[in-house]
Amino acid sequence: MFQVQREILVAFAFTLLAPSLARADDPNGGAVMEVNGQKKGLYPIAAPVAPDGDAVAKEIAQVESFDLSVAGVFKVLDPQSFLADLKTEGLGIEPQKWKDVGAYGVMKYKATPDAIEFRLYEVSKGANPSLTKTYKRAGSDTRKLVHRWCNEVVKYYTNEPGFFGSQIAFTAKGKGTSAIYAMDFDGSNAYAVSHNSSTNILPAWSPSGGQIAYTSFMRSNPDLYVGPAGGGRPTKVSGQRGMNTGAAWSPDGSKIALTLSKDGNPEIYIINAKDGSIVKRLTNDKAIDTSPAWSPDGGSIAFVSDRNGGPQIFVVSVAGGTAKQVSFNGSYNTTPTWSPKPGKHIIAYTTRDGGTYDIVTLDLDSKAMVRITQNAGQNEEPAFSPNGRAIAFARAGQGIFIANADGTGEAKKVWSGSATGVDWGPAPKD
Amino acid sequence: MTMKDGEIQVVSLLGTAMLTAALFVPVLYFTKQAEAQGGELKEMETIEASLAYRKTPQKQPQKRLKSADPIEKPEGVSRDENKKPIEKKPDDDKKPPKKNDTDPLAKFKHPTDDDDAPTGKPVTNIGDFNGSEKGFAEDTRGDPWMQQLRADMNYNPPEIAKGNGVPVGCIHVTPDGKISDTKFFVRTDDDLQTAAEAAIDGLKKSRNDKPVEVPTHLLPITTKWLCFKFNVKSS
Repeated sequence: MFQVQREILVAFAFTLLAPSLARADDPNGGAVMEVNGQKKGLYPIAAPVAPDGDAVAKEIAQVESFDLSVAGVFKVLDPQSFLADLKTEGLGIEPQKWKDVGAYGVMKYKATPDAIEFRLYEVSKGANPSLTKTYKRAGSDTRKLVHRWCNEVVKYYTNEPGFFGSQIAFTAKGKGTSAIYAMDFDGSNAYAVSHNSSTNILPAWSPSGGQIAYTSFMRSNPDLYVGPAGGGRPTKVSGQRGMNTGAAWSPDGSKIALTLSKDGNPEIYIINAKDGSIVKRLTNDKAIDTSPAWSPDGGSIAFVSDRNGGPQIFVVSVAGGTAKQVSFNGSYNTTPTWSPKPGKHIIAYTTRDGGTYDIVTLDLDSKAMVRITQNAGQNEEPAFSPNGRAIAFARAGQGIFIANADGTGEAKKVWSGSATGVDWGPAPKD
Repeated sequence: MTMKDGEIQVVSLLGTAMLTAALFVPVLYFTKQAEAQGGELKEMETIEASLAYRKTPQKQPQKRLKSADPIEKPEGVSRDENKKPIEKKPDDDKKPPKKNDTDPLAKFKHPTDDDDAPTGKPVTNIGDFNGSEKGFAEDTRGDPWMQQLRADMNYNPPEIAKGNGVPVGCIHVTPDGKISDTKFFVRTDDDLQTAAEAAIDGLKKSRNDKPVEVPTHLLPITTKWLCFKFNVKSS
């Protein structure tokens, strides 16, 4: 009886398999095993130098490689492994040669004095490019054109905007002073935003990218100023007695959350971005409340408080109410920042593990934590890239680094020198 | 000279005594010598020692594999223009004799649960290893060799891999466990195809470097393609 049932089951199984295997050009029999993989890890991509190899060609490949290596989703392959004859290939590819070195994607380009033509190939699709763009070079910075191209590549794969061409603001320490600086996300084109001989700290980009708020001691008191992102005279926005520090813009740019200690104890307030008038006091606790960070949906503010002992991350609704502690790892967690990823509630912050400071992320929904840095110096003050794929942070005494926000890969240095107060500006406007 | 009965008995006794002495004296002598050596042995530690030698590996009995079935050409179709069509003999249409024609009780017999199930061909020939069911995916699912094979298949497309096809890639395993050939019967021409090809290439390399012999009961799979359907789990 059981034998008969088994035969029926086998026959039934074959009937189910038949349609899919009929497409299979008849594998002439044989077992078909299900292999269940999972999409994870980085996408291997090759960015070879164009065969003409002049300085511009090398710069293009260099910028491409760097951009994609910090994009958070790519693994840029070592050019020394390439098997393809780049001269013969020109702007095309021989797919098998690239498959053999493990590439899934290949980027090619051709630079002329007038324009740069870029191509993206997916080796699975053969010798036809999946994406082609040509940019005129007239008066344009080559790096910017390459950033634009790389943003297209990121968008092609992730359907998200890339962050290449965005900027990072930070505090650069000098002898007895500190100044606000801004630079391209890759460390190029750095310039001073603040121009005074005092102490300037904690820069914060406005959502539009046109302004930077920062605290300056130029009038002795730590007041909050807002100035043009490109530099220029700043305007004092908040000059309350005591601290006016740690500015965080609301997503619409109309308000700023900050720490005020006008009543003696540091508390979180919301002020109008234009005139500094107080809109709301968010915290009222005898403990120290500081480092506010506005959530991308505008509904919540994360901040640091030592109300339960050591400094921990709390989240409070902008509408008011009781603040809720969200960080529970270790006894010291500071400088929270929100991931801009839509639909996600992820924060990154500095945590102390033993004697070292490292960057972690915490998914407030799943409570999953990801460690971004480990065994690599003292790492503090994280800031998410505009698309949430990367995190910039300061490594004490070394400079500013960028790491993948999912914890994969190695962090890459983009700025050398003593820097703190890192803040990543909005996505570039093309 | 003749001996009397009494004399014979005396001689027998003497002979027996001499024989006994001849047997006991050496025994006593060697026993004493052994006792003298015993003191040295007591001072020594006993170890177990045995000679180790490389045993010739015993191969599993090899099943004689059936050669591939001859290709049956359709009747009446020939590419040889000169070939005459096969003429059917009049007897060809006769039905073969019934098995139980000679069994007088056959008409009373009917299949029961105790009878073997009839062995027919499956609906398709996929997984048909010369009539052996052991080639079927369902039946080999729990087999350690097959499980290891699948475990060694590293199929993990990158997070942003494009495409949602399900490639079907196959390998030809030789009885010694090496992979002699690979082939894709379903190509999706997307990143998942690239990932599947990389997985099969990786498996081929690892198995050819360190082959894992195909167990006897799975030898039928070596006569056919062993195929993998590459699915992507939703994370």
